Amino acid sequence: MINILKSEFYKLKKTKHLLISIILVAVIAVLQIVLIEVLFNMLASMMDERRSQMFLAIKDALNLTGSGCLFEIGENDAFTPFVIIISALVVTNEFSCGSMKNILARGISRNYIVISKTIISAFSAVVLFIVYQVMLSITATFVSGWGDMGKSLGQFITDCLLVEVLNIILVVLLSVFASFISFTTKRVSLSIAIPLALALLLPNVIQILNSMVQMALSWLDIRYIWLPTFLLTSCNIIHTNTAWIVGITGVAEIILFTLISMLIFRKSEIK
Amino acid sequence: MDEYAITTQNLTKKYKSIPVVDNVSMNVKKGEIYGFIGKNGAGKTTTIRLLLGLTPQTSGKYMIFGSDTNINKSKIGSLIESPALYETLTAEENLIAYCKLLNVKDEKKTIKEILELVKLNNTGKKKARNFSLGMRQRLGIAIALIGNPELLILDEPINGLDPAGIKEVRDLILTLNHNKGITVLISSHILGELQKIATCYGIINNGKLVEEITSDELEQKCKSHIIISCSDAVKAMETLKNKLNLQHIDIAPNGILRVYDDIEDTAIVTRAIFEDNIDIRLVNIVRQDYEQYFIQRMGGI
Repeated sequence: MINILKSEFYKLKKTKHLLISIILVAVIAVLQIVLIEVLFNMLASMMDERRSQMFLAIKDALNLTGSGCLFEIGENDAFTPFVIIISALVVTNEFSCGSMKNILARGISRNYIVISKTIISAFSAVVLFIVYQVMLSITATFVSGWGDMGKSLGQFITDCLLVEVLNIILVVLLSVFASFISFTTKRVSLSIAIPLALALLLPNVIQILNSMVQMALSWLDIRYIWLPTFLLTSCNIIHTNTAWIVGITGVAEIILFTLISMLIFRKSEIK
Repeated sequence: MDEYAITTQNLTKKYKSIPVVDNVSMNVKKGEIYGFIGKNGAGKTTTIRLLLGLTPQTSGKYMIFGSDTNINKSKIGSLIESPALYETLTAEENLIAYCKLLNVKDEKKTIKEILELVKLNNTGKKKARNFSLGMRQRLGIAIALIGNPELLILDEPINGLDPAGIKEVRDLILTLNHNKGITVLISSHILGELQKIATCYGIINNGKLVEEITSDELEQKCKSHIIISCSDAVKAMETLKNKLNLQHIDIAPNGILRVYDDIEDTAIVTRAIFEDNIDIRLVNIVRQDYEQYFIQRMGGI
């Protein structure tokens, strides 16, 4: 297991997929803050006093300050595609270049292959997330200042860590989900398109389904079955001390998708 | 059993009840270069994939170095169809990735030796995607050589190569076999090339192993022989065995008697048969070349 991980980390370093993604994610994080700032200021300057105040109020509500960015929770449409792409490349590259058969022919366990690929995908996703979050916060601090923490430093750090841990569980889940699709389809195009579509559509589908389900069974809330929608429903988790339930749900989903990947890959024919 | 690198017993692989590999029982001795011959779609690659554990068999079993359960696959190097390379990595980096995977001690020394052996030591920072077909094939073999394999399984390693590339791969296989004692199973449908290196052949047709034959036996079978068409081939064969003490005689599927023993005068043979009251219709001396032999055994063109 250690050997295959060493080999995987070496390939990750040499193929430069992660490096390129890190650069792109950093640029996007900077642009995201700068563009919002420029856009709101430009719109506000073009409007009359009342509308201008309204735009600035919306901007304040977004809380795009250095500290505010650290409390953003849940899926991010600008960042999620990178997690999915890097996970898809880590897995499907072996199938597309045919090296998976070389690895298997040397007697490496299929389970180890799935676990190592999942670890590499998750590692890449976490690295990307940290880069994204740090760049977002640094840029926001430069543009709008650090902002009001609204609590003691100790409480701020504790809450911030909690949010980031949940965010990390979320990005790991997305990467594991993308790896699962990659082990199933073995094709890079499908491994990117399917998880991307599901990551973007699934929360909406679950919300709609939940409304329908609750008309019949008011006690049943199906939003809890998928971490991103669970996070959406639990925006006040930090205050209600229920964060650990969300965390356990995420970890359970990570384990579930890894096990399904192992099961699928065990039966899979390698071309 | 220990003298064999590979043995299979009624190895069968079916796809939707259609047998692609059908009761194949093959034996590859240690130190041999085993030429695995068959037409496209005959079942060569599927057999190799079964041996490498890339696909499960429907029935039957196989043993590698006498073991069917705890097969040490790190001692098997393989190249299946096209070489599987990490395109954005250099030759050295490709090998490093596999060295780490197989926990090879003294990585640098091993890689240097292998790159020299396959003559890719001067490729520097050139990425694998920019390699010629011959270089790719040699890098594929280099990857197969990591971990000091005792058995090398090469599936169509000379496909698409130019004559110079074919010679390079051929020389490399011979060097590995002669100098390192590596057993080689090589599949191909390019008969002329296999004939230059193989010490034993397995001929596969429609998933069935038609024949296993050593290069000496093949030599024997392909040398000049007498064909005799007569009224009773079985009786004629017995006559020649008893009267002239001939050993290498068989009857072709079309009933023609074939005599492979060295005979200076065909008249001796015809006289012996004639004396046993067997009518002779035709006597001829023919020479079959290797290609003809293989093609005939592979089910014709």
